[in-house]
Amino acid sequence: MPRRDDEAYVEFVDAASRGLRRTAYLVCGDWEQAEDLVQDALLKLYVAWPRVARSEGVHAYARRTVVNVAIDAGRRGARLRSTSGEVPDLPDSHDAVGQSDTRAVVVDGLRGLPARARACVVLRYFDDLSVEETARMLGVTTGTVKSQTSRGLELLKATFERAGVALDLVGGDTA
Amino acid sequence: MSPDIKELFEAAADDAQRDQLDARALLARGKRKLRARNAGVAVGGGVAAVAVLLMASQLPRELADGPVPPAQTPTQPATPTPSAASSAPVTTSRPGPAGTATTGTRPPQSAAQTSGAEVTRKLSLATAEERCSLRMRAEYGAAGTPVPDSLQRDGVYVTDLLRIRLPGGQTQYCSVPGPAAPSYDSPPRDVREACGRLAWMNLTSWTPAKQETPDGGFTAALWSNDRTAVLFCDTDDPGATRSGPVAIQGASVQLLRTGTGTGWVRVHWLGSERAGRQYWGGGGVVRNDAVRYAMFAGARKLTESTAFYGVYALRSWLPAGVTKPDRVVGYGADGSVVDSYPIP
Repeated sequence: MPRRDDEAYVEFVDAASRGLRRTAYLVCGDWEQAEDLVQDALLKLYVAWPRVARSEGVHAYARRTVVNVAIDAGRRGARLRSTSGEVPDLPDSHDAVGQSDTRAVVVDGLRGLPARARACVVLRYFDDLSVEETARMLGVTTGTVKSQTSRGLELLKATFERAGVALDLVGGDTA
Repeated sequence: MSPDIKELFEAAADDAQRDQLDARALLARGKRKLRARNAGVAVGGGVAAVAVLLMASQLPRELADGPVPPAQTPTQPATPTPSAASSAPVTTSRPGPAGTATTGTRPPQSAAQTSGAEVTRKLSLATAEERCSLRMRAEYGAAGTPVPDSLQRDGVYVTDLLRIRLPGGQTQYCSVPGPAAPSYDSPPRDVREACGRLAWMNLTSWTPAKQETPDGGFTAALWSNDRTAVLFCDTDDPGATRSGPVAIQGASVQLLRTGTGTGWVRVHWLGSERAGRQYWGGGGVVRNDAVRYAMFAGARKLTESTAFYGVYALRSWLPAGVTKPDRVVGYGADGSVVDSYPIP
């Protein structure tokens, strides 16, 4: 790999790793695992850099790798352990409205979704990908993305309602 | 106005407190990976042959060491065989020195039995240290400033929260990780600067057990996967909730580093009354030179266990006519009583 690509790689990692890690976290539900997934994906990216830079683009490749591995990891995790949830952030006197609890509800709600639906919801509403982009990312049809997203949102909404978290879905279509 | 889903996701995935990935380190790893891959193509089968030889030579050693036992099923804490009707001392069972998990038949289910809990999240050491430090400063002031009386007196403190899911779907919060006073007999040092210094990095997994006290308090013990450490959480306040600015009023936590060696803590773990006949859990730091502890109800010995560097649990059932144990007695090697305290 030429030297200029090394610098491009470093720049890319600096710019994209945080967003990738957040996406991975929402899909797999564990920060440490998310960090591992992102590092693995970025290592794969380094090896494949000349090829992906010419084809789909490095960011799309990295995100696709992260999301698909996170989906697999989430499935394995669901089989291996029944533990879930999130340690709430430090409570403080300014957290009167229970923001950390809300975060835990969101993460718990995402964990309760089937892996594919979870990925669809995260890619659509956190990463702001279109239905078509999400379908390409996951290697499924646009119809699957629409149905999985709709199902995921319904389940999330039900979870939020049980937890008393209001949710405004006006900002996004469910298709 | 309700937040939209994007805002909720943004908040849930807030990583402002997390370190940025080291791009240069990743680059170096990528280069090594690339070199290894290229080299692997060149040497091909030779590497595989060496790997097979290495694995073959390693296997006997691993077999001799024995595998680290897996954590027990979260909802099935370590239990000895129950002896519901017997008035004889209940034989205790504990993890062996190599971390062998306590085994026993599953206790009979009863309406009173509510044991079992699972930890819903474990923390990385770095995260725990950071949160512990923040909590220390917030609640007790910075290290080096005058030590509050409560800290001097108790030597234990609230640190951070570990959420535990209880049978029935409820959740509780347990504090993690805070060093405890090294023993009952020595004053605590300024532990506000000691967050994370007690080794709990081996806590790759947790085996929780739970005891709900009659007054609504909560106790949980969490064993490390390799049985070298335990996190002991105790919430004294009935009905403690996380609705206020302080998560669990009156909670305490002891991270007991177990095993042998300087600074390690011997513990015993006996029992406590729970809903009539059944009880289990309880215990504390071994005092003086006690080698075993027993629990009595009047003159009747209910249970006995060896004090050791480690933590174990037992579940026992009170003999007929006994409603609760009332005293714990520790014995020295010669059989003399070296510790004795009532169970309130």
